[in-house]
Amino acid sequence: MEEERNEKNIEDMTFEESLRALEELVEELEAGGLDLDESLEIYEKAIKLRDHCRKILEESERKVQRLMESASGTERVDFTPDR
Amino acid sequence: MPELMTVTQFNDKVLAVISSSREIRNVTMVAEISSITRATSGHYYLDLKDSQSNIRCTFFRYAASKLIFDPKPGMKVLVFGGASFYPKGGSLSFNIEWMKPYGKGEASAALEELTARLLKEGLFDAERKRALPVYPRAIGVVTSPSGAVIKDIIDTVAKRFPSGIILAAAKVQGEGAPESLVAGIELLNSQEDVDVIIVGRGGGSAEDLSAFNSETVVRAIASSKVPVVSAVGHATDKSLSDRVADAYAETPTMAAVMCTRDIDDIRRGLSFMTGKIARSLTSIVKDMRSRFAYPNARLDPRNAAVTLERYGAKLDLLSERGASSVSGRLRFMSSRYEVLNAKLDPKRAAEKVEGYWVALDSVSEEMDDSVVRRLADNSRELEHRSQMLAGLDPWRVLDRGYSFVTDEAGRTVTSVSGLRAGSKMTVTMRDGFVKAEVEEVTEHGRREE
Repeated sequence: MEEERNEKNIEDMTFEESLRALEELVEELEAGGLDLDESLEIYEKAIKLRDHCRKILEESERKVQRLMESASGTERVDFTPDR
Repeated sequence: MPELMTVTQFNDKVLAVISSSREIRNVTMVAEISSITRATSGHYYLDLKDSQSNIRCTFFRYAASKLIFDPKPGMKVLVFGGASFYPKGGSLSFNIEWMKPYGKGEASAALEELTARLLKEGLFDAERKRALPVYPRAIGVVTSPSGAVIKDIIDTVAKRFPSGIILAAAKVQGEGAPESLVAGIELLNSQEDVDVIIVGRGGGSAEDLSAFNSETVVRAIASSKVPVVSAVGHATDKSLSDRVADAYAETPTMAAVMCTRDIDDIRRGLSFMTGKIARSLTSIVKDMRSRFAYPNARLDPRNAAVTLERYGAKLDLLSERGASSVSGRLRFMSSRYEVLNAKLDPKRAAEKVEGYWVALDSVSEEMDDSVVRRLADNSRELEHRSQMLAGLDPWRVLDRGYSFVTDEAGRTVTSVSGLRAGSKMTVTMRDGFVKAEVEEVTEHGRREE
């Protein structure tokens, strides 16, 4: 059940969440007592998590924005400091 | 006769003298409040004194609105203003334009009072401090949009974890600064992805930390939903903001470092973890391999083939009652074995598996789950076939109580035809063979398996 939920949400996970999930899988694998199928399943999930982490690291834009209050509420605009 | 002056004329002259006298205008004065009242109009009327003298003061609402503390009798204050003469009443007073608590550094009476109060409330307790997130989605920054603070934070974060940065521009000193800081903290708290807030002073006078000592700012930091790092940047004297914040940084750069982790460290950590996974997996497969080695050795298909051939040849030469079923079965199994044997090609399969193991060993370097999956499929198939083959081993048939018969030439005997009383034969059983002679032959048709 939980597995399913995680599987579905890897893409939506924050870096910290996926890293924590990855650490748990490593512990699970290291604890041993798993058969090959279970191990492979965990392995597959771990690779997905690792790839997600890498994606966040490599692809996420380092957005720098400034909050501006307007009549319609608060909005974000790109911000570049004066150099 | 000297010219007579009216009171009005006199007072007007005094006013003129006072108004033009630079020495008593734009004066900064240190004094103690001896009494103070606040009128409903918002103006303050107070008496300032020192050990010898006393002066009446006015502190009008527009100026008093900038007060950052609550003035009380007995407080030492620093006031800026000048002499002011009221001609109608002939009274001289000091008109205050701004007033600050006066004391050793920030340890003024007002600040001491506020500090003591907040301390008692437990706002500075260590237990209140929250851990900073290590991988924040976005870092909120409350500071001036033009100072070095925001630049330093952007530059530092850029070299580290790719968090977003969201600036809530705020006034960090002067009139309205506390309100502006509070608004910034609250605004960033309303942003879902902001996991930590840096409140930075940056720029401006090194002296004016007053906004960061104001109660509203301290309370805003204390009630922030996400952890706050204070980077007010005053190493010698911490502000109350520094004390109430979850973490305190001496510089904005340090604050940014505290909120993020070095990207190379993160990458190393990831590699370390995936390496651990690969090693665990390798050891699981190695374990499987050693379990597999037992049936594998026992089977040794080359030996089995030789055995089969040998007994197959003997069987061809023998014939005895009851032998037909055994021999037919053996033939059948033999052919199936050959098919399987050819399909399996143990040598090739073993090489292939060896290749996979080599591939798996390198998995820790760069993992490829499809290789591992194929290896697993292959291993499983091999194991399955080994078990099948083991089931077809002719010796197993003998184990079950069957025996087979060969004639004198060593050919398997599968039929009674051609046998007569006195024919010699060899009957092979599980644990040996017997030489036998036929006593009598009875033929009763073919029996299908």
